[in-house]
Amino acid sequence: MRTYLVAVVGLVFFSPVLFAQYAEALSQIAESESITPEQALWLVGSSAGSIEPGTGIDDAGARLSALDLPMSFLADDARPDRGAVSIADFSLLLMRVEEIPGGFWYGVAPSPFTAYRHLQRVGVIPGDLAPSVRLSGAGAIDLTRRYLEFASRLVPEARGQ
Amino acid sequence: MRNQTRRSPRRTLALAVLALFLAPVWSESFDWNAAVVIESSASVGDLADAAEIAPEDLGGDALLERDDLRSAGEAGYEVQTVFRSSATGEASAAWTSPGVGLELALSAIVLQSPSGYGGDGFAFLPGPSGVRIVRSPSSWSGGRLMVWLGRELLVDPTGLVVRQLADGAGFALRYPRLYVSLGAGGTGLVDKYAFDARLLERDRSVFSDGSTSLAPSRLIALARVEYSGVLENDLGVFAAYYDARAAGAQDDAWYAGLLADGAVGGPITHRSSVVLQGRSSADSAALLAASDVTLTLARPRLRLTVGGLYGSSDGAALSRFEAISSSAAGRVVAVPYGDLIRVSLGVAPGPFVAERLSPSVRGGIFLSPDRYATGDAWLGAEMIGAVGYRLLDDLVITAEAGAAHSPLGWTPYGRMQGRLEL
Repeated sequence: MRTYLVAVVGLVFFSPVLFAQYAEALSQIAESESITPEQALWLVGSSAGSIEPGTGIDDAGARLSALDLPMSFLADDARPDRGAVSIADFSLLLMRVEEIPGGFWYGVAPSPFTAYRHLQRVGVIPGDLAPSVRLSGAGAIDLTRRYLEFASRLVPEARGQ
Repeated sequence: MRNQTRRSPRRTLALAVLALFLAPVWSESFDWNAAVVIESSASVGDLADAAEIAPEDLGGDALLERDDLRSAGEAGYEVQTVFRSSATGEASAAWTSPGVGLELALSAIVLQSPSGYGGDGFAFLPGPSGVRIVRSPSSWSGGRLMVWLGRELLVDPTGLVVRQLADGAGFALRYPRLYVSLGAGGTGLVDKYAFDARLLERDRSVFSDGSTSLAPSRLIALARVEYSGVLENDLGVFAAYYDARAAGAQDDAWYAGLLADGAVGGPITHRSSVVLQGRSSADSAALLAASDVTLTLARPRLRLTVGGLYGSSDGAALSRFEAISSSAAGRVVAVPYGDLIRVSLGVAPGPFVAERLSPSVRGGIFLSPDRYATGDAWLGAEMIGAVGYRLLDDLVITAEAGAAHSPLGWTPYGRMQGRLEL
């Protein structure tokens, strides 16, 4: 959350152009009926400070390629469901970009489902959402906010820092 | 004449179920979900003085359950160790289109105990499963209507009278602050040991019958209406009906209850309920009243709970109260709600150590005017200390120890339990 605020404050005060780009991208995501992998990568990467300010949505995937991203976010146009991100995939992306302790099952088998179950258990994901539900842009923004707020509340020892 | 092949009803039904399951998979709006809970526990109890207790009198949440006593055999109820493990799995598949959805749910439980469970070391049993049709128009502001057909858990809002798995049908409507549900089902296909179908006292001879693991065949109907946000309280009323006439008994029972749950003022909250019971074979009604008042302090972090419970016994004005599901007015040896006055006190400080360590102490005093072979009024008490440690967010270890004292003597016990959730 702190990183997120620093990024936003920095954008607001030091670069009106970058802020305009950021606002335009965020607005585009918020209006999306279902968030795409590129939008998800940009949203999480820019919120967590993992990509530089000014990076466009189309370039976010390349900038985050160094991270160990979930398979569903890698370039693979052959995937039949390419173009929509499920809550489970988005959960794994969040936990990969901004790490928190993931519990027993996530530690044994990190996957979209174990990440989703962990975030549901700690209250970040509402209990009535199935892991396969496609996220809307607004839903993804809200989930990112809830996740970063939760991560910021964890005491340093619990985060292994 | 053309030779026509007649399709059997069983095959038609199997094809229909298969089509129902496969239809969501072909749909673009297919959703799925799954969950697994693994629990394992080891209990050590001294049952030497508990020999006079009828096994059927023990409730489901008590440490010393009927199977524990049965596993001790005729040799007597000596010090014993009981190991139990269970894995509960749930899976659901849902097909949704704007405003309406069809959900198929399956759940099962696998039980294992070296000392035996219902006569076997292993048990594999279906839990809540069936078909659910869900309607949630966008104009309902998040509200939804669900109609279900299959096996569901019927639970009354007080948690004191009905908590029973049944095969049947029902519906539930949730509108922002209103919840209405109606469900009815039979218990004849439910495993009585795994799902603790003790039912009313007159059914407990059936429960004790070791020739079958199925529960007595009874009909249970439950209606609930709840509304939240009235003077910072959730209010609920319910009505339940229990019918044993299908099994040949000339009797039925009905219940009407009221629940208030919420703030009293400041850091004090309460949960209070009153339930009235009537029976077709008795002129008088029975009464159960219970209330827990909780004080929650932020500094020091402490939760203090004081509770009282009264269940009417046979008297001039009232008859003995009987809950439909087994009562658990006690942690060590559960006492039926009828003929009972209970006063309890619980203290839970913390949690400590990065929110992971949760200790608690609780105890209670029981006054039962007419129980067991003596026929005399007796006073009993139990005290329990427990500590839970959350090793990981999905792995919790709990240790507890306690003792109960009654005219039958002392019953000490200890239990370790691990719970892992996916």
